[in-house]
Amino acid sequence: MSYKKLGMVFGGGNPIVLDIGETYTKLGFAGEPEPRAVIPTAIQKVGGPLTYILKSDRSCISQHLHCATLKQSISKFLEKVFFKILQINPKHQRVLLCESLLNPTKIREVIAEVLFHQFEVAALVFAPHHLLACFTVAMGTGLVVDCAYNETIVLPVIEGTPILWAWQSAPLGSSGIQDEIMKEISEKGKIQVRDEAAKSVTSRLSERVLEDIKVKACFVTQYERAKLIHDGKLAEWRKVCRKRVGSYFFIFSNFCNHAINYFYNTNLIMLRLLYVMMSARFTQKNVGDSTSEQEITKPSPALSDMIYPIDGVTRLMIPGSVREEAAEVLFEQDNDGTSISTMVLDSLLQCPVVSRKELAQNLLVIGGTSLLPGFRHRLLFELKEFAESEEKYRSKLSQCEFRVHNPPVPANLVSWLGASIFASLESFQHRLVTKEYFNQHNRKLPDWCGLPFPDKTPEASSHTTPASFKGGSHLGSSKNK
Amino acid sequence: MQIAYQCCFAPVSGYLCICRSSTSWQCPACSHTLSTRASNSIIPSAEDPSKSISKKTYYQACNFCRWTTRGIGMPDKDVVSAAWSEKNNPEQLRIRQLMDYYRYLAQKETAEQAQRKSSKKRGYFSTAMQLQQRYGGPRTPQSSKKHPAVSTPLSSSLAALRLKGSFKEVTLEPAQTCGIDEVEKLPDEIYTKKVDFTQIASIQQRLYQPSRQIEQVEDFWPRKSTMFVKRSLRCKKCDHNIIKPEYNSSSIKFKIQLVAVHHIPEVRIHKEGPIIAGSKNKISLSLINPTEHDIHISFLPNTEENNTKKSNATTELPSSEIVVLKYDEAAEYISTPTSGKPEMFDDPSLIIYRRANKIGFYLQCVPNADLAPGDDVWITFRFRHEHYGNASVVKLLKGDDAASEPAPTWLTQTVFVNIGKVADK
Repeated sequence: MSYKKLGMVFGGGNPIVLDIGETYTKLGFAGEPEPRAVIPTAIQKVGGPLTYILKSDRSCISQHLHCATLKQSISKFLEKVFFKILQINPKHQRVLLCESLLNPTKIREVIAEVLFHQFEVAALVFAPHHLLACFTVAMGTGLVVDCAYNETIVLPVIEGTPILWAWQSAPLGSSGIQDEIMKEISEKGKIQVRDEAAKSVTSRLSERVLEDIKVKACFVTQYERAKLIHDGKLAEWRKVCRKRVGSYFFIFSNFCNHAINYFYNTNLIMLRLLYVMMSARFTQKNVGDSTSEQEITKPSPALSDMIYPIDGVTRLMIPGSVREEAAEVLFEQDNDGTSISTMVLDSLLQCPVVSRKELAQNLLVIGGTSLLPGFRHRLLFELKEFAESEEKYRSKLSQCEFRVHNPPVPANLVSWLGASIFASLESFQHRLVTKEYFNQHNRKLPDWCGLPFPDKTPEASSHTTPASFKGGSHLGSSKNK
Repeated sequence: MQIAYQCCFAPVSGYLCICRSSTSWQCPACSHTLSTRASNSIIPSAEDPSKSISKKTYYQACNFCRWTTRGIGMPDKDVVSAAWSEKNNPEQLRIRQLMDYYRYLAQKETAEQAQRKSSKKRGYFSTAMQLQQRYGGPRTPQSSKKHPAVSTPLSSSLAALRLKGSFKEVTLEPAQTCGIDEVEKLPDEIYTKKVDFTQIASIQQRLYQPSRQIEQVEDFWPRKSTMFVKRSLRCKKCDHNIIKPEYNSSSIKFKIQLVAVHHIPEVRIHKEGPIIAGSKNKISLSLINPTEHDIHISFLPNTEENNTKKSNATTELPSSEIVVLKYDEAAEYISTPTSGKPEMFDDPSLIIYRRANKIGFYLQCVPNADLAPGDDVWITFRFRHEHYGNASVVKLLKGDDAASEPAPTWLTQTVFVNIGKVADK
């Protein structure tokens, strides 16, 4: 048996498709229906902690500070990908990488350099994953909502062209949910070692535990319950504020009493009157507020508390309310009124009027965070609710019917599958950046795939099917800013 | 083993290949390999219901986490090599259709371009345009607006013919979308049901089978194990085949015989103790004999120190010879290794222990007095041992000739040992 031939059968000839996400990397070969493996985007020394190579390092990368360590960790990570998991020699292979629109140029250039110079790949392509996701539902037009680890990016795609001026992004994602879980646990949770008395949690739990709690217990609750939670939080906040105001008033009144006693003989009637009036008003207001506090209801049925086993002897008592309240960070609007739902609506408002209806009917929700139970239902419900009730959207979007796509793979694999389809096409060949090109152009990549290549005839860049990336130059130029 | 690993991670050639095996399965909970287990079950006989016969059935179980195929209600199999099946992804068909559809679109695109190009080259295109402008234009203004490039009935039909001839048209049903009423709603019991963390799959378990991503532990299904195929690896210098290609390799064996680990006794540190500078310390080392001959080892002081490494201690070597027994493959499987062997008299002040082809012995050393606590202490010595080469292989090839015991050659090895750091006082 020829073993070399065997290697070809197992995918040696097909391009390698990588979707390097912030927490998980999907890897496999073009033309296959599912990735070979999904692994954490991390490197680990033997016995050491798992170090995520792209997470939380964005600020450093933009300052070009940790470029050397970034290169080192990327090359170590890719070594693991090629030699340990895909078990393939990347020499003379073609590689397709899914990338986010907001992927810093620095990262893609470091990845390209590692791939070209260390692993000697023949050619590679960076493709925008929002566009690739549309391949999985065979739609040229759609509104892609990517809810990932750190941020959520909304991008409309019209006839195979990403409409960059309508993109929306906000730091709403899994990291926010995990922070929220940690906050709730440190407030109300308890930790117990063996049979000792339960103590409150003081240090931050490991990201792995928080992720596990999020995956196993959390869900996106219904809109009605969410409203109650939100009102409850608001009332609590008000109560805290009022307590503060009340204590100030107490000091003030004490001071006044002394003053009145002092000035009583001098008949300062006016001051007394003022004091009496103020105290009367305050008590009245207080009475009125206390009745409104009683009206606040917690959502029922209340969620029961949970016990999470951290290891053989340590147990973590988690308040049940975490389950639905943690994911609310995605949907409760901040001071600017930004939530996932309003981002989608704002993005629609910036699209051409003629395309709005079709975009609203072709929502595509991707990204690992959107796998939380109830996510899509809540999103659709809020979109409908806001489009009908809020003044800002009612006039322009009330005619839209919101419908969401069911891609053939789970939401976290959608862009990988799109990439797998794209890389199996012939037109993929036209988009490749070769090693020679990379070296000739000062180790810079063409920004986005739409930029004309010097050796290509104009026909090659004017594809008309959804398989092509049009309008890439727009995207590229704004990305460089 | 270590050498093998270094080879396999070198970016030059990955020598292992991966595919899915049909006989070996992996545990969905911990990714350990499942093993087949047999069990006897007593069932009523088919012919005579009053009698019962025992029947052997087989199921798969994980030795590591005790997950079994019975736990999820997979029926047992009657034969060992029965076909266990992996659950199919119901969306696989749709994905194939999608890929076919896009391939069709891409082909069509390239064909159209090629056609446009060729017609330009031959001047047909310009002629057609001229003709159209002169004659076709005013008569069919609407159609010419729609298809400005190729609009004459002749050329369009020709184009259609060309397209049809080369490949089959593929159509695809548009993807289904769901509105607010069709999208999966949260089940009501999610609010009342208690969360049992052990009954829900972790994210690692979900991603282990990427296309299914099972959420509940009771839905687990075994995954076909990834098979490793060893590819051959050759020495870059002499082109010898070092590793043989092999399916289902359980161990990595070197094909090449002349690797040092097979011929030279291995020196290891047996036990670490506190080392005090300036005074006598007892160091315990061990020797392992990898050859198939008993060897005699005598120690020599190392006088010619090279510049790269220097010892910083004076060593007192054992003056007598040490005999290390040969490596016996069968001895590994015998529980009491000393049984049936001639007792050897060992000086207990020199020899710590003797076990099959291993021996432990003491050395005395005095680290230099000027060493500070925390400094590394290096000792050096040389030892002489006999070496039979591949005499046993030669003997085997020539025929069994017991009378002629091969003559050994004597080799001398130089050893540097970092025995540890100087202890705090």
